[in-house]
Amino acid sequence: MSQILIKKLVKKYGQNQVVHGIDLEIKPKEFVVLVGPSGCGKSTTLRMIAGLEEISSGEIQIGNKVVNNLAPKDRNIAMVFQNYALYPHMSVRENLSFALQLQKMDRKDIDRRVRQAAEILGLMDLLERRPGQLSGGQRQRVAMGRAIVRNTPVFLFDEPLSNLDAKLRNQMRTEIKKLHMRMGTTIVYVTHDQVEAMTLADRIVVMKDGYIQQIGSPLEIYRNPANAFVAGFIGSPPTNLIEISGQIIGMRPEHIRLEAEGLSNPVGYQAQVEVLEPLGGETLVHTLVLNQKVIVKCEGLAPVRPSQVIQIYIDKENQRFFDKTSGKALNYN
Amino acid sequence: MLKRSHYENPILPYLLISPQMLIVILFFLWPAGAALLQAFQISDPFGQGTAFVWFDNFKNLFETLEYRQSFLKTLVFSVSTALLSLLMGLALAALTNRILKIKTVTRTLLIWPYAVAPAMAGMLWLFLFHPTYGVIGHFLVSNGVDWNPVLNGTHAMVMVIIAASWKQISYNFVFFLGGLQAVPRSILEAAAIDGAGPLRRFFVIVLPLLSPTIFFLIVMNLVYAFFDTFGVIHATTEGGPGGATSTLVYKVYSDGFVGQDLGGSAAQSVILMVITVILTIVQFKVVEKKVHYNG
Repeated sequence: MSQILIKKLVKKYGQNQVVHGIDLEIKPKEFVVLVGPSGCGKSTTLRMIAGLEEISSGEIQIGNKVVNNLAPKDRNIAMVFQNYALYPHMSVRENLSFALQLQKMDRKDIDRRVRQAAEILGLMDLLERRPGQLSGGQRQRVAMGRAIVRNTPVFLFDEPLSNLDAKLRNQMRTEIKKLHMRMGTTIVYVTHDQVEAMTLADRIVVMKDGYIQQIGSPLEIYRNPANAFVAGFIGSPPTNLIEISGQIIGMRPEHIRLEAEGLSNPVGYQAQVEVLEPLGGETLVHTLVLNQKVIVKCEGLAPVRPSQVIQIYIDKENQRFFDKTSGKALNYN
Repeated sequence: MLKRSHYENPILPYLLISPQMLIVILFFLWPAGAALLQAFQISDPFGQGTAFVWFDNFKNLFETLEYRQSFLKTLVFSVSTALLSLLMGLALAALTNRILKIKTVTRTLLIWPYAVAPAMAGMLWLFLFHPTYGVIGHFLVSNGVDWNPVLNGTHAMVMVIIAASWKQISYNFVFFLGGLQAVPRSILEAAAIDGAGPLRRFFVIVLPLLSPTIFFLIVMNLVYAFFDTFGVIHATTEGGPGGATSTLVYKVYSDGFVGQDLGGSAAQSVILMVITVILTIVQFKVVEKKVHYNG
């Protein structure tokens, strides 16, 4: 049983192919995040699911129904846009009830649903305002409210937090997570921010250049990146990738220590300290190993100075090895 | 508050604006003042003498059926012209907006009629609509329509309205296209997902977002139809047949320069001036009230 099924999905603009036949199965109530750098085809894929972009070839099923030729309104989906896309000439209430009015729903039912959504999102006092009179966070809430009132089984989010400032972004992130737990809808969420992907997703789909690089739970992707790209994309700071004797070795900053003690199977490297970034609770030590950048994340303050030559250690089982030419993980199964 | 500029020489700023002021005085204030004065005078046809008659000219105007009818004709003409050119401009802009990439040449061609001189535009439509040698006229006549704008007043009015609005379509088109392109695509996409079809999206989302543009254009088109259509009318019908297309602005000319009733003509132009002032006030009110939609 799947909520959304994507088979060999291709998108071409003229001769230019931007999505190269991807396959993806999304289960009911799952929170799936498509993540990747800009131009990786994640938004295009989402827009094809929504019906805003034509499908060049392949197939999309929503609720076991092929939707390739269905209009957006017939796909039983709701979508939240990056720039909110609220109707500027309508009040919050009108924005929320627009879709329901088009469904010719009963006046009373519309009021009930709008009230419900407004209560969930804390919009009760803002119902008569216009979008122009709202802050960024409030507009974002209205945009989500417009999806909630529809009560569709699938929600699509297209970079919904990109236009918010950092603090608000963290706050809305938790709200989206709460919302998902409360509503139990299937969510497909597009972002370029790997932190959002890690914190929100049941499953992450990492994309690059129109190909899926890896699909897996946040922990799977964190622990076992399928290739050097995924390793270098996920994590904050991302995995250090250094080339030693024809192999790429991946080491997470948080796995590297300044002393061998406490490690069961330590491997050591000589490193030269470049810069220290003290963050209070932890310190990022930027070093050079064989002239390649390696960041070490230490607890508390690091007892080192710039230009000092030190030894860094990592447990052997925490190292990942990638093929130099293909980038594929060598010990990946 | 506007920032004041500072000049070392206090006379320089006045010198700088003097050419423009000269033009305003010479071509606007002086003739307008003269018209205002003349409107209260009566002069003999040969300009030998004038007499001050207070409001007699105005009284005479509103007592003549012809002038009152001209008011009505102007209303029909202006509203029809504005409506026709607004609708055509909007339709063309909506169609153009659907094309993602439009060649610059094509877009420029759509704006072309605006550059055609009013008299030329009038002649063009007369050539098309003339019952004997016009293509459209011939087509209508050979299809059993008793089309004759040279003799039939209603036909003449239709022809003048078409000719006058044709010129204004491009103007409206440019503003409408600009307005349409300012409507964010994601809002229309959101509406599509919410279940609104293309027509409903146009009427419920696009039109309200265009309303500031529409209000502005209504005023501009009315002003155009009221005052700027002398050339078109003069070239096509000369106000005829039998005064059927003699709008207020055309009557100013025909009564004054053809009929030699200088006082009456001046009184008419004063009335037109008052109408302009009212329209301008309305326009400013609209611009002030113009809702600024953001986000």
